[in-house]
Amino acid sequence: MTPFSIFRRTTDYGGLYAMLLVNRLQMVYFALVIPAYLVQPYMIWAIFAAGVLSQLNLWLLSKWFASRYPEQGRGGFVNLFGGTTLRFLAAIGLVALTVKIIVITLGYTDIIQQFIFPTMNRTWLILFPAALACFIAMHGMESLIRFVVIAFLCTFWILILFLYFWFAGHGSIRDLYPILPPSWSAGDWNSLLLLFSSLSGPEYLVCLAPWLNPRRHPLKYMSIGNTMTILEYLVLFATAVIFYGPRYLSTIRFPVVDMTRYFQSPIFERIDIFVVPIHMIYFIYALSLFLLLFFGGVRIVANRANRPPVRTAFLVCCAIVTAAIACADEWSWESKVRLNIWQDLQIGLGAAGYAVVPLLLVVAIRRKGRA
Amino acid sequence: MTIVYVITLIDSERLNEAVLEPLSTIGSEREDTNGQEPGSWVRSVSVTLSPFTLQSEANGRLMQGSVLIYDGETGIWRSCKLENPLGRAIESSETETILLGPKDSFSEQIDENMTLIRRRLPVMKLKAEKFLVGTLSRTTVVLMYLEGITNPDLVNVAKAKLSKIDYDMFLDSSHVAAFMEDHNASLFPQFMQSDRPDSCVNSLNMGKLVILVDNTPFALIAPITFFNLFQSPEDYINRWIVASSLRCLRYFSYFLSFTLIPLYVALCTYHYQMIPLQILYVLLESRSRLPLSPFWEAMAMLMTLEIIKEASLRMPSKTSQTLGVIGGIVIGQASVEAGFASKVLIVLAGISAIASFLSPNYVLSKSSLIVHMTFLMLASWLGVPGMVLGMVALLAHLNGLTSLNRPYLAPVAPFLGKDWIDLFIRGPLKAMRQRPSYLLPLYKWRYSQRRKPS
Repeated sequence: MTPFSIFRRTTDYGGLYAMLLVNRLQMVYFALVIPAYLVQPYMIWAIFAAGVLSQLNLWLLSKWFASRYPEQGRGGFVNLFGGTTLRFLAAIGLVALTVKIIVITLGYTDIIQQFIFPTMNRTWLILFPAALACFIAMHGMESLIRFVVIAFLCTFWILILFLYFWFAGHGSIRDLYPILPPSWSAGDWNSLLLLFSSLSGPEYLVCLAPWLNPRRHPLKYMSIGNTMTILEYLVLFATAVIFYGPRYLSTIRFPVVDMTRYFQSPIFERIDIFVVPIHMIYFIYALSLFLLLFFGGVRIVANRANRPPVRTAFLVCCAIVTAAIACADEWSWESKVRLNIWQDLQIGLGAAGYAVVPLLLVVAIRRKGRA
Repeated sequence: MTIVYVITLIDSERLNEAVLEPLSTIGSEREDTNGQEPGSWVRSVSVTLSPFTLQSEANGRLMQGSVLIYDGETGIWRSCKLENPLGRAIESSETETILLGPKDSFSEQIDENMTLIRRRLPVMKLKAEKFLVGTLSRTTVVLMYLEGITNPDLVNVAKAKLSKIDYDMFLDSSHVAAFMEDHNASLFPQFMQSDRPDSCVNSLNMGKLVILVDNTPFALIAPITFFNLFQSPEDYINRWIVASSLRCLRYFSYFLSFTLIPLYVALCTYHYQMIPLQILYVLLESRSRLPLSPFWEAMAMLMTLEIIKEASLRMPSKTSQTLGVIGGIVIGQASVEAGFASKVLIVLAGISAIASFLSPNYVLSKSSLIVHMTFLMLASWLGVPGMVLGMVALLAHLNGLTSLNRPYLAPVAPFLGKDWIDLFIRGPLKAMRQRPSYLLPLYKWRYSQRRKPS
């Protein structure tokens, strides 16, 4: 078996990459469905609240980045938690990661099937992105971190297209009222949880710490990324509310994607057929990053992290993940609004992971400091 | 005295003038000057003589166009270089033609090529290091760089790669590049070939390396980025706004050259609903009598186009013009009338072919055929999403490439904002105050930082 340099590190990547990673990881999948869950205009405040909570977590993460442990890579975690605990934590992380991979992949598969290929076999729609993500991941972590710039440049401009609805006279600005909640129900708390979960993703940066070097101003760059995400969420949600109105909005599964059907162009009738695959660029980017992290996690759990990585082992990991996605799709995925157990599981795990990981790291650093 | 040489390799006129005539004069005067010390004839020949002792050295020099002279009195072998100056005159470049700007180009003579560079860069900092590659061809390779500007790591990497080359024959600089490239399996060139001295000098000034190879007019420039392949020497001659728009046009044309026909296939196969009604009528009318699916129709046209392009390159220039007429008009018209291709596809194929010629780099434009075919297959398999997946794969591949260990997609990935002034646009020369940062030059400023006296 040939060793390959998938985790090679030859240079550091600065704060800009941390910023773009935070932003693109927070925009994966849930950003496209969230208006259907928030529905009421006063939930704009929930977006702000989730943004503030996310900022708090980023502040904790910045404490971790400012410490001496990130540059040690896996050794830093071993120093903090010890080898056995780290393997246990990595095993839990693998479960959370697998659920996240399954939910985002099948979510995008649903989008492609609903908007572009209603009759195509779903297995192909799973297999092609997974194979492409595997191909991208095989270029290694350094290449993947650089690639976030391309993923960002290819996709950020889509948001600008949505401003069209503000001026096209399709909706009513009055749908943005009431801006203050008349009452606060249990469903609203769930929506807040969903928002917080959808803002998860930056916690995976702790695994990229040896390559990222935002030690000078870690909080600054991650905060900019988080703010960009909040702005994108606000624009998407407000546009969806104005365009559909709260009543109709609650009946649509993918409101953001659905809106793109109404874009008009003199050359092409259905712009959404271009826009939906372009959304997939950052999904595929995230998937390839998660595949690399999955492989790294498996190496830690299997106590093989000290050995050089092997290409075949990585391909086997990718095959396992793809098989898991296909199995979940075959037996337990429900392509209907709000009947999806996987989605609920991901909401819980994502929110818990984003809340716990930064806190755990900061507590561990403090404990280690005292000892 | 014994003189040894290979008649086809030496300049016999210069041999007569510089060696034989002076020696024969000494021979006739020798009777009068009996007291002359042995070996004094060396002073009378008008060439530089260098002594040697080894047989292998003698063989090497003999084969490189030297004349070997054995002095029986002293028992010393000497040689002088009198190689045959066979070669063409300095002509204008045929592969990188420009309307304005310098017209000279490299020839097959490496010394002349070095002179053309040195005339434009008359500074002591310009270093040239010689290497011999090829166990049989014994080809001279010269590595040139500007000391104090070019990053020494780049020089060391290039030197290490040149020293490691182990192969028998090098007939072109591309052969040397094949042994120095970081990623041999890629379609995209990681060394740029150029026969223009001004391009090479500009690259040296930026902090790049230039590698000259004997017996080929094409120098190698490295490290390069993907975006360098779209830059023409004329960009720096035209007004910057015009140059920028032309450069953007080149990027767009390259993109168009491999996506236009696949997009047609994707739309006709899966996404009819995307086409506006009026255009759809035209398309349906055009395709109504065709027996082939959009994919096979496009594939047949693409293959025909490539055959015509390749044939026009191999045929004599006068014949190739006729071929262009036959290919463009007769085959195009005939295939529509015969019902093999739609009129729309013929138009798209024409646009696609012309767009592929806009790329200033020949190697890049040749490689686009394979990219084109791949996109065609993806479009027929997965429509527009397939094309987007293909584009992501292409970008990921380019992102993974390096040229002499420098990232191929710089300054986009990694993001180096200051270098964007000469990326999609060609900024004003006055504003280009720094050398590209992805090259990590030792001295980044392009202007003197000393204040001028007022």
